Amino acid sequence: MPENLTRPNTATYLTAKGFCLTSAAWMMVATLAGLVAAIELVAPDLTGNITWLLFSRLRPIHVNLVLFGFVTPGLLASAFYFVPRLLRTQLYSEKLGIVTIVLWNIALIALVITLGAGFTQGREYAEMIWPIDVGIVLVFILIFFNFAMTVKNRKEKILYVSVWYVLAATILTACTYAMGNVIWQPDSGALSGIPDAILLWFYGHNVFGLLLTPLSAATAYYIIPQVCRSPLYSHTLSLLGFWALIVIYTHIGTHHLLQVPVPTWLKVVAIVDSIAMVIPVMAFLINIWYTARGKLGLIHEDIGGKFVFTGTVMYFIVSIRGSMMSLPDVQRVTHFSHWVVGHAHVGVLGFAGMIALGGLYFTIPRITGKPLFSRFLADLQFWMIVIGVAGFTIVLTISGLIQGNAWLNGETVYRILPQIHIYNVVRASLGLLIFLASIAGCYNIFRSLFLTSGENS
Amino acid sequence: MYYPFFLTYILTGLFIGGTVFYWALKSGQFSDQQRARFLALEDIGPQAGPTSMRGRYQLYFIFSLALAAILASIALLGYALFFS
Repeated sequence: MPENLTRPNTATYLTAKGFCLTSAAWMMVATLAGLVAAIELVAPDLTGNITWLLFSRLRPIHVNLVLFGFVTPGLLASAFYFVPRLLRTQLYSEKLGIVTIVLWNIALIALVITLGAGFTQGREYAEMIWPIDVGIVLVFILIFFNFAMTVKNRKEKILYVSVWYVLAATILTACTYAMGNVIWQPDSGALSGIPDAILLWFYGHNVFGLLLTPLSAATAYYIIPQVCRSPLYSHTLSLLGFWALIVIYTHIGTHHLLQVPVPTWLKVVAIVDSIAMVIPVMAFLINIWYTARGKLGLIHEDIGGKFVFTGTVMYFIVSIRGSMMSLPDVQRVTHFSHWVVGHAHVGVLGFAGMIALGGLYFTIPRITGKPLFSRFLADLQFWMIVIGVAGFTIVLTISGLIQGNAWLNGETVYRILPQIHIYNVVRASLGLLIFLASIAGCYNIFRSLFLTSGENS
Repeated sequence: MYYPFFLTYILTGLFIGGTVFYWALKSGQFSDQQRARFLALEDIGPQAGPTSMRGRYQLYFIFSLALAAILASIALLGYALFFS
């Protein structure tokens, strides 16, 4: 053991446990909302005129709960475990962590109730009303403070790349969330006209780019070397990827607005940087895959590592698609169609969601000191999600191409609906698979945390 | 008038980013990269200890909060389906 390091005392990891529970519970609610919304695309009259269950209300509930209820807490659960370990110290304050989790869950409950009741600011990914916006910004600031003070108290001089990613994700999200939700205008939560669209998509894409991506990268950079029992291929390359992500990712939101009269220079910046994203993406993937080279057997043995490694493969797919989709000639066909929905599912569920779940399964045995309740259930959940995400990708890509080509040729929207009906049916079926997977995962995690002596994981 | 907000945000971001990068450079964050490769492997962090009674209650509280969230969602669905 290096001389400058000391062995800290035992830890309770209450904050990590709390975020595990939060993620597992809200994944069920989030996927249920998505499932019902998907069924409504097949059978629009299913829920009649029940306002609470209109597609327009379920969709933002689904999206926001997946982002802030399932994936982010899942990734934070791992972060609250590995950040203190990497810094060779204790978390600055478990009490503050608990307060954060309570506030977080209150915000999520308020999210469901207000969006269900129709209280919305009507901007994609920024639908929540002002008090909830303030609550979310506050919890990110509290989390950043907790991590920053842990860094201050560290006994390891060098910050491992995962720590860089976690710190950046929490503080940048606090800033971009406040900015993107126009928090200084409580009534509307919006600017007016084109500037509002630019600001919204600056924020909208940064939810993925500056929150889910860095937290997922942080988790992968910690777990893959541990599972493979080999050092990271290159820490220098990882830092290059980190700074490249910070510099490049912040500019690409306007590629959502290529059909909109925003300044051309801004579109050019967005497209060029979308292509340039290949730099941080490949820096991350080459690093992780070279670390895992020849060690796939070890990854297969560890259910957490299996989820995380699969997440990195999904990251490759979603990033290549993302760069392609920013090209105007491609986007002319794909934009506003199901293609984009498929892309979002590969990114959020396939990449960040898989890594979040991998983080949970890797972390839980270590924070409880007990094996996972059921490796079988975790494996079952793994395959259900893999099949679900792969299915979403195929079905929504085909469906999106049908829509995009028809619209490009001047066909009206409603005449295309019969053609894509079958794809919507398959989409809803896959949604059921994902919902069942979330139940299996939630049960497994609850049992692992509370009740079981477990089996070998 | 939105440019002041945008410009302030960009300049603040550049300033903070530049400052953090300068700190990292000066404090040796980019040195000793060979040792940094092994940091995730050195498993010497705090070990999971026994949960105190108070900690156990805190966890139960969070669990009940998560449960309340699920029940709230079910209640919402029930209200929507049968009473609205």
